[in-house]
Amino acid sequence: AASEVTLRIHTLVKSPHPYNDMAEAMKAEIEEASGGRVEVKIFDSGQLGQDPAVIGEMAFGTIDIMISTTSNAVQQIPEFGIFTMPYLFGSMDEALEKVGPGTPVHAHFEQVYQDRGVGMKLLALGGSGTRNMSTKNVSITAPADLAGLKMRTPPSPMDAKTWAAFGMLPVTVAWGELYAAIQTGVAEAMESSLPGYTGSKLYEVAPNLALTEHTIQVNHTSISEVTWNKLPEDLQQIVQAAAESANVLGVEKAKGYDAALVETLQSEHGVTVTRPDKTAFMEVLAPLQVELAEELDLSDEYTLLKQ
Amino acid sequence: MLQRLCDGLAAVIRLCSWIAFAAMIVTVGLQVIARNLLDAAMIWTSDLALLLFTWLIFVGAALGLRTGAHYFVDVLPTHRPAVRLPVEIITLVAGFIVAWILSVHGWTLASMRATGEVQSLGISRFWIYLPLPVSGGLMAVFLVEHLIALIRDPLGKART
Amino acid sequence: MNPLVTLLLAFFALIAVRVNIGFALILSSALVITMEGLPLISVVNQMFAGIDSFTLLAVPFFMLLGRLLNAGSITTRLLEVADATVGHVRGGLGHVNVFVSMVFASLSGSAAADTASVGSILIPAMKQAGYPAPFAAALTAASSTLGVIIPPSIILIVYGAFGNVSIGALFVGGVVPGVLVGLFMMGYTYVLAVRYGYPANPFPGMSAMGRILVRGAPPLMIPVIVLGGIVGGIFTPTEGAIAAVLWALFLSVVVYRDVPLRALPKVLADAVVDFAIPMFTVAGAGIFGWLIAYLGAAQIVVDFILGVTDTPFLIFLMLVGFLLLVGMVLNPISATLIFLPIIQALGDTAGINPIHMGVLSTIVLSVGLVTPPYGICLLIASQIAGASLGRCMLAAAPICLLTIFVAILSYFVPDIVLGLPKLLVPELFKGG
Ligand code: NA
Ligand code: NA
Repeated sequence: AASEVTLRIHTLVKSPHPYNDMAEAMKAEIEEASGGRVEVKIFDSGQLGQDPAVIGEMAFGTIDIMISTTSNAVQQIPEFGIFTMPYLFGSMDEALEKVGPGTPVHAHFEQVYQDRGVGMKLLALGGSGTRNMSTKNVSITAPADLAGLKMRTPPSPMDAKTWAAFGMLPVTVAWGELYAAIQTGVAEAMESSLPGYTGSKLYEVAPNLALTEHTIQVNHTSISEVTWNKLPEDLQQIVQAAAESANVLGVEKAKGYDAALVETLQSEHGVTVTRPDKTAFMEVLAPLQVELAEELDLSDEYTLLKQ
Repeated sequence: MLQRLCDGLAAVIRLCSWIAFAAMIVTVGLQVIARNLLDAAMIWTSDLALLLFTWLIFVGAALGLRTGAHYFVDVLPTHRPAVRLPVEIITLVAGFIVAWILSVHGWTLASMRATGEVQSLGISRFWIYLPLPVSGGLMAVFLVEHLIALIRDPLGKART
Repeated sequence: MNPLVTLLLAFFALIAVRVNIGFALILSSALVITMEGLPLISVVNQMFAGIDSFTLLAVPFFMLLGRLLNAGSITTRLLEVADATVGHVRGGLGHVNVFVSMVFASLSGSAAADTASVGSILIPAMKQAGYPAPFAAALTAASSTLGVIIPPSIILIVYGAFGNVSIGALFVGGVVPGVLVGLFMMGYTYVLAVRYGYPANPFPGMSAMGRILVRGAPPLMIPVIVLGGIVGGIFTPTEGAIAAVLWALFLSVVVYRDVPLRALPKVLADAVVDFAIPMFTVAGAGIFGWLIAYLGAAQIVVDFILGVTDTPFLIFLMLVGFLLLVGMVLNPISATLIFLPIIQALGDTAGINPIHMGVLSTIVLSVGLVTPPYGICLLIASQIAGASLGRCMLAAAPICLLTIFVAILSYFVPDIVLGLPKLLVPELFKGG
């Protein structure tokens, strides 16, 4: 029999990636638990567009569910900016514990979605890997090594100020241009997730990887409010439960991918991997954090996360 | 009367657009100079240039509607009045529907986005989406001008 | 009716009754969105998403560059260089026509601008020298399309920006195939010239030639600035375009003094309409392309082609056929934007390097600027020549075939496209 409801899930990434694993897991669980009443279609690799436009579509109900990185949503939800602040969490497990479903942080962001009128409901926040620094020429072992390097950043004040604190010079470069920009020296340093670094072959131009683990990438699983309100209560519960178990799976997958990627990068792509002492980096940023949070109007979120 | 209003409107658009275009050149030029010569990054230049770009596209497209600069595919023998009149009516109706979508839905979109902020410029995202409804409104004005010309001279005797 | 079929039929019906391409893309999408019970606000949201890219900012700057070249004496200087270099070969004016387009191609990203400016000078001259009007129009139009292959190219910018491919590498990759297409066109002109006795211009003599080259050298610095700057890491493509504009401004206003400052507002305002129209069409392509993805069409086309064959060359040939069809009704920018997922998916399946694929699809789509019904360059050229469109199309057919031949040749010899990038940006090819 034909299904009653079709749910379209958007992700921005190509497999293998935790987001696509999460989407697959949600699809399997929802279709199974609903006994075929719901059909789930996955649109990965940004087939349905980039996040800012997709968030718009979510509000209209044309796209139903998205699994993506919170920093891609700061245009509409500036409060998500807090998660780009370095060294908020010690590890991915700690991040999940702090922000996962049922936590005060989750409740806070559910309210933020309401207040901002983004037309979405938050299903889960979770961790999906560490972000690390990579460089063209120098190998990074301590904060002082960063001074004077041209650092690729997105056009966000948080990133610009953070890296400026290390004496770096922020350069705005689009992701698609990043490879060429580093290759030609427009940028000399970059930070990214490990799948992003590997997938775009950035190791070829920035072969020095410092596992600074400065950010735990926080992802959100959100559902269109239009869609949510159309679902009967039993299906709502099924979707919520599927999002939560996929969220836990995402963290596990991310840990696995990250470890395997570091290994492959070293053994197959000749990447020089350093593991700098993170406390030295934290010391540079610590005096800045409260001030930055205040300046960017993120004090509530900062306090909540530091509780 | 309406034609004079439209002439004036077109002149104002052309004036604003060359100034905005010049500003766009200066903005991006500044970005190159700042980074390469002064070793300083300006994070607002990209956002400002993109804002001007969006305005120029949508307002320029409305102006192009008046000057007949849009792209057509010519397969019908429009030199024959019997073909030309229905074609002109259809293109007018099509134009009005597009103008309606842009102005009404563009306005809704801009209002929905008003809570967001362009961080580097410190302005509401409303201003980024506003060119959509503005373009729709301008198109509607220029289409009314076409419509009146068509009613006065349906077979295009005065035109070539 | 299947929503995809409705979408395509509605689009074709609208352009057939002379609704402009941008509006036709928007209206056919709006129709299907309404039929599917989706909200119309998606139309404006996706239109906006279609142009929301900093990289696209290069487009207005290159369009302005095209205007600047014609406002002063730069185009004339380039014509003199072309005449002095190749004008004395048999079929001289034809060679000048192709050669100046190759140079112009590396100055402006716009083919239509080239047809209009070069055509208005050379088509009358060719007719007077005894070339048939349809051939003069066909050669002018076809050689103008070199502007979208030889960098800077607006199509390659769109391809790189939305396909996550380095625009610098695409630019470098377009140089050799573009020049090759140009040389084939000159070869064809030579063959006709010998058969029908088209004349050659007199050779101006070495000293005159030296003088002309010196006069033409400063504008010829523009491609060096753009390509050198991008490959050398001084700026991004958008910033490269600005540098070129500033250099052309400096030449025209300060050095040659043939563009007075008070003329600049008009040049700028005209350039705004020049780029606003294609970019508005790109916005329309934004919603049309999104809807095609939303309805799952990319997968359908890919599955269909892979169902017919899994031989890489045949996949490539079918893609060429598909792009030729698409190019007939869409301008290359919109076509690239709408069908990028299909082009990339098929390229991956056929094992074609992404840079290689971007240049190949651009070459094929450039043919659409000459083929009916939406062959904007041939339309302009036939109007200038005062020849019937039908006879111009016949004269253009062999030249289009040459272009397609170069695309197929470049498929079999990837180094035609990739050789230069390998040389200049070798790191792009390390590993695999
Ligand atoms: Na030409
Ligand atoms: Na070009």
